[in-house]
Amino acid sequence: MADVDRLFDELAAAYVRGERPDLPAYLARAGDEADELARLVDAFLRTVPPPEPSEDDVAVMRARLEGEPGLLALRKRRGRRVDDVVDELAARLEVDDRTRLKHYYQRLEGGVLDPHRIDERVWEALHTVYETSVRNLIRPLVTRQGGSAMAYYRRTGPIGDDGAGPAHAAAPAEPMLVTGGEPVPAERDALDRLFLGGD
Amino acid sequence: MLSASSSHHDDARDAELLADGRIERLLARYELLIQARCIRETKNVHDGQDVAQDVMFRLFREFHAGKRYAGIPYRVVVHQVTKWTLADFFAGRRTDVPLPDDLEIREDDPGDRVVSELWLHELVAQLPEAERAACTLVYLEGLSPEQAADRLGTTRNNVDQRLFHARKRLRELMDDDG
Repeated sequence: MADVDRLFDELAAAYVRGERPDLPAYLARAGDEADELARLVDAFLRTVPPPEPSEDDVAVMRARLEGEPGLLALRKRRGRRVDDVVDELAARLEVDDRTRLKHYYQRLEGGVLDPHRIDERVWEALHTVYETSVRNLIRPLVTRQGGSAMAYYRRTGPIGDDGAGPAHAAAPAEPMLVTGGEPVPAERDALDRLFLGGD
Repeated sequence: MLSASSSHHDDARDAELLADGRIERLLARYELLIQARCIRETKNVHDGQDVAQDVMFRLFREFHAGKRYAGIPYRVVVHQVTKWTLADFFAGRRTDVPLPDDLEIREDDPGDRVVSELWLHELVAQLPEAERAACTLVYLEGLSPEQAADRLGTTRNNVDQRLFHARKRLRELMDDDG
């Protein structure tokens, strides 16, 4: 049996069990057959009734709509301390510089690191730490201007055609996504590359 | 045949969530489906994730604009908004802005045939008994192929062979759907 079929069976079964399969990770494992796996998964998800989301999933979605990064919301919901998460990450990623790791983790959790640059090993480690895929939780649901979806509806006007809220709306107090806004060190070591990408 | 009752059950659940204003639960239900569709169409994980994020935002905006799509299953709404957003992406238009108010969602769009009618239950029900049992355990109950083999008193390899035809049918559905 082709690898893509095995990967599909694994993902499909996990989805039906109500888990949150990490689709990009599965596609990475499929290599050259990623398009075929994506096609099969799309077909499957369109033909099977969606399972009821967990209470964690719902709470995290609510937080994202409020403009809060989902990973932060998940950690708070789980009652985990940042230092505990960082300790686990340091062990799994075999990182000695815990201070810098914590700096990066907090930026990732706060939604100010570009998730596309994060190394697969970080996602895998976080998946293990939280026992669920967190890749999709990094970014709050925001408008281009950085305001949360929910924040605009607490005020009086609708979202305008350009995605902006009412002109009189106050600036959002939520953390704002700064895609790619992280200062990049001139010389990147292995830890930098885990969170900023690059060779 | 399980299709009708299962389909109606889920549509009723979605309608109930929509009526109760529990949009976050609805979006959580459909997030992976949206993401898979966007990644498949853009053939790029990063682009697909970005477009999926915009689909979620648009669905949220539609909800807060007061749209409840009387009589149209929410899965069709999700499908249609995803399709429009992907069309904007491929046309080079912005996808992070609300949809125009005059767009109408209709259930009878021929392109929605897969999501409207062909639930996996139907597909599985069309398979021979041996294949149907394996597919039910793996694709509808979430057992691993190894667990399904144990349950059926057969080998993993045998289960893989039985699942083959279901995957083949899924691929055919996608070919039909374009």
